[in-house]
Formats: sequence, C-alpha cells, structure tokens
Amino acid sequence: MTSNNRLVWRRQDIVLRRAPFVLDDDMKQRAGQTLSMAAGRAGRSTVRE
Amino acid sequence: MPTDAPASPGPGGKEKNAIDFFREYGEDIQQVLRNPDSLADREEWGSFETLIFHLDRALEASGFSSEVLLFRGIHHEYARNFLFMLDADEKTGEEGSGQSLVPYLIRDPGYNLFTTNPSEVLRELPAVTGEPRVMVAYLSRPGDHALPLDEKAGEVLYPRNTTWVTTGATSAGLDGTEVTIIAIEMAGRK
Repeated sequence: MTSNNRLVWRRQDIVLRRAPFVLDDDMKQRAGQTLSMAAGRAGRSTVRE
Repeated sequence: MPTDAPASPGPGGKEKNAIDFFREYGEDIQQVLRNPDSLADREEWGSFETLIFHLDRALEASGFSSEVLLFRGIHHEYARNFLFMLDADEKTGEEGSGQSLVPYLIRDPGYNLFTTNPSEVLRELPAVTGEPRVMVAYLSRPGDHALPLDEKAGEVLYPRNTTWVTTGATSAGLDGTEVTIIAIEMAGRK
C-alpha cells in the first residue's frame, strides 16, 4: 500500500455515533492505563528523536 | 488490483496468500469494503468475497499473547471535528493526565490497521498551523484476533467491522509536536 492514509481514519472511513451505554469500571481503569502508557510512549519518542 | 483471488498452494496457503495480497493491495481492498457498491455488480465480486473469506479466517485463527500499545491517526482534515464530536479538549492538562469522555462508538467497515510506533502515524499527520494532531491508542488484550502485517513498521491488523469505544483523552509531546491521544477499547464486532 502506498497511500498516505494507511494509518489514519478519514471522515468517510468510519461511522461515529454516541455509545448507548456508559463506561464500566474495567473500561475506565484500562483508559487510565492506556493513556498513561501512550503519553509515556510518546514522551520517550520525543527523547529518542 | 488484479481480479484474481490469491492462488492456493496448499493447506493454510490460502490465508497466507490473502495476507500477502492485502499487504500489496490493502488500500484497494479497504476502498471496496468501505464502498461495496463500487464492486457489487461486477464479476470480480466473487473473487473479492473469496479473498475476504480467507483474510477473515486468517484473523480468526490468530491471537495476541500479550498486551501491546497500538496507535492509529485521525486525518488532519477531520481531527478538529472528531474532537468536537467527542467533546474532547485539544489540550487536556498535564501530559499523561487523562480527560474522561462521553463514550462514542467508532466502526470501520474495512480492516483496522494499527502500529506500535506512534512516529509512523505522525508521518501521515502533516503539521498544519492551528490544527490538532490526533491519534487513538488501544492497549491490546491477550487473545485478541490480530495479525502482524509489517513487523518493521510495527503494523498490526485487526478484523474488519470492529467497533471501538472512546474511553478517555490526554495530550503528549511526540517528535517535538503536541498530540491529542484518545484511548479506545474494543466494543464488539458486527
């Protein structure tokens, strides 16, 4: 694949709609874990560059 | 994209060939899955369905053994509206401190391609003055049906029609630029 949209979602690629539920405790806990790891990962990328 | 489905050299070979075919013509495959009317009435549709059958089977037989952090971007022309829809701030306080979000569902009729390397995503998100750069991040679960597609680029393929739910947001510095990161979780498959 040679497109520049290989790793991005354009508006027309996805359907976005409000979830018919609220987040449970497991999802909230994993959200915190994911965001903490993602921010740390991004930060390390900055340092590495 | 050639009209013939991948050849079958032997047991298991059809799935491998389907994956190789996706590596080569993935953008075309995604285009048809997202716009099936473009091919539905043509004679190639049967070959296409066969290809998708084998890709789906390859993904169904796959499985992650550990947690891996995965990234995908939101196109720069859509990023601001995407954050607006989620009611997410572009800058979400101190780096790493998350913002709770009202959950939204994201579904792509195509396959879902992620990378373990956020810098690979950033390459597809041009720096436009005043426009936010947005990524989603997913922490894979052991047992997820997913295939490594390009190990050098850290690319991982998830099944088509997967539904994701947004769970939070934060901002982080990446390669000298600020990025808004939206956490997502798998919410099901159609």
